[in-house]
Amino acid sequence: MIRALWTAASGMMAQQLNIDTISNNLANVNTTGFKKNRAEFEDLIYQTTAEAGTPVATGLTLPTGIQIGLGVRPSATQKLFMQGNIYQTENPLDIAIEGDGFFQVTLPDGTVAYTRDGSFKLDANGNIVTSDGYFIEPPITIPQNATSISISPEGVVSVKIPGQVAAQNVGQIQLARFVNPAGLKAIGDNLFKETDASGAPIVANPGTNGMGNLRQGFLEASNVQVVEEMVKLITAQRAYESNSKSIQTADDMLRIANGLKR
Amino acid sequence: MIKGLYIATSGMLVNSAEIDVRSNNIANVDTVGYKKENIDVRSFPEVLIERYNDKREFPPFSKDREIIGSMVLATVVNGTYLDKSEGPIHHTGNSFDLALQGHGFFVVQDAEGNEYYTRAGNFTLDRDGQLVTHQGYVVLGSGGPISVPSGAKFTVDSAGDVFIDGTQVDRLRVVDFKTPTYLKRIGDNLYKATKDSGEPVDAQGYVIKQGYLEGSNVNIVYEMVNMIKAYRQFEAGQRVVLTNDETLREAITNIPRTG
Repeated sequence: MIRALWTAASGMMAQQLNIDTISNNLANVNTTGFKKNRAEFEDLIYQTTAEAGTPVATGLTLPTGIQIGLGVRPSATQKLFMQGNIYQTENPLDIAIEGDGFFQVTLPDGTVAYTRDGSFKLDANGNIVTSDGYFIEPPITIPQNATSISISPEGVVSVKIPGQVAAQNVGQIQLARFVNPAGLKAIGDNLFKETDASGAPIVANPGTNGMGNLRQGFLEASNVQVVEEMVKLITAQRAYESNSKSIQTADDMLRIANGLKR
Repeated sequence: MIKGLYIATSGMLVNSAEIDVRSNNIANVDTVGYKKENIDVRSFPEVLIERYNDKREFPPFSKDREIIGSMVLATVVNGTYLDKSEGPIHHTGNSFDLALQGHGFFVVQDAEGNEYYTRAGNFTLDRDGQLVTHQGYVVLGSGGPISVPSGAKFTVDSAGDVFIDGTQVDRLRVVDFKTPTYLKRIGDNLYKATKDSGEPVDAQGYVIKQGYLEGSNVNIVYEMVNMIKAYRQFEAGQRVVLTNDETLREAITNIPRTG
């Protein structure tokens, strides 16, 4: 019975984490390039009070053992990297990746982070930066006098300079890909960092080596499905409630047990 | 009278074990591939009761004392067993989520080479591109671990054949047991084979669905009803103990006074 109290408590804590994850997904339903998370659970260890197959008499064995489970624990919050919807913005510096890959950006400390958010901007010097001002890697600078920017599906950035007939090539956007993208660490600001679990980045031009193509003037929306999250929210809340009933029952039974002695 | 105390207590212990099992089921209502646990209760072997103070001949004990019936002296938990029924299958769209319909278990292996069995198909890739569970145990195909090159398209058909970019590379091992009730739960959604479950054999008649997961087969209504049942039986057991206690008190304090 004391077991039931802790078991149910583990269930309530698991559902709390579930609701935290769902709320974060819902909060980011309009975040460009956001990838939804999913809380996953595993049963905890079992207390085996009688092994199945224990001999009870000559030639007879227990058909089933007695195993009492001790609850549940969260095993992972997995990022799901399904493609989000791609929508048109017509802004020349909005780039969506159609397929696999991440844009690389340089953080102020010099390390590289990865993002699916392609809503780039220009800084005062004409550098292509993220909304937070981080430089894209490799850095690309747009000349001050350029009149239009075009980015090919293969990542070639070219500009029109007044007085020149041919477009001028100013840089190449490269993408990075991971063996296990679910192992990346989200650090906020739509950015991910490489971890031991993700494997080392594989860098290549878009459209080659398994990378997706770029789409200029489009953005990738978050892959959160509101209806799905709502249903998960309802089930999580009800499961939380059911676990609280287990605690209540265990508590009432303890009260009854205490009532044995008057 | 003292017998009554112990009988009622054994019932109460069974009820509290049932509450433990039910709470664990409810705690795992969202655990992928979880199979609910049920509890099985048995009575102690019945004993014959015979008339006392009747035709008594000493020595030796007479064989012809009259038997007036039988009674059970206690109930105990016989065992807990897993309910193999299938959990609801829901769509996730993630290509590394595999649901197993029908009998069978996926085979996974830890770093020491021990094999475990699981119904939870929420797999992922590790840094080397191997298909693994969330504990990092590799998922086995008939040719060993399954590697997915970065960016390759990973598809699994209903028979468990694994295709990388359209080329078949392996087949997922799906096994079944002679008596799966003998499997030992070790937590983390894993089962271990025991001497009595039998060796794993290739499963028949299963269907694998990619992009789906099998939910827990715990039914909250069933668990709640059983919880109410166990709770009320526990309460009734308490009344029996109290009545016994009352009778004993009566016997101890009042009978000598009247006698």
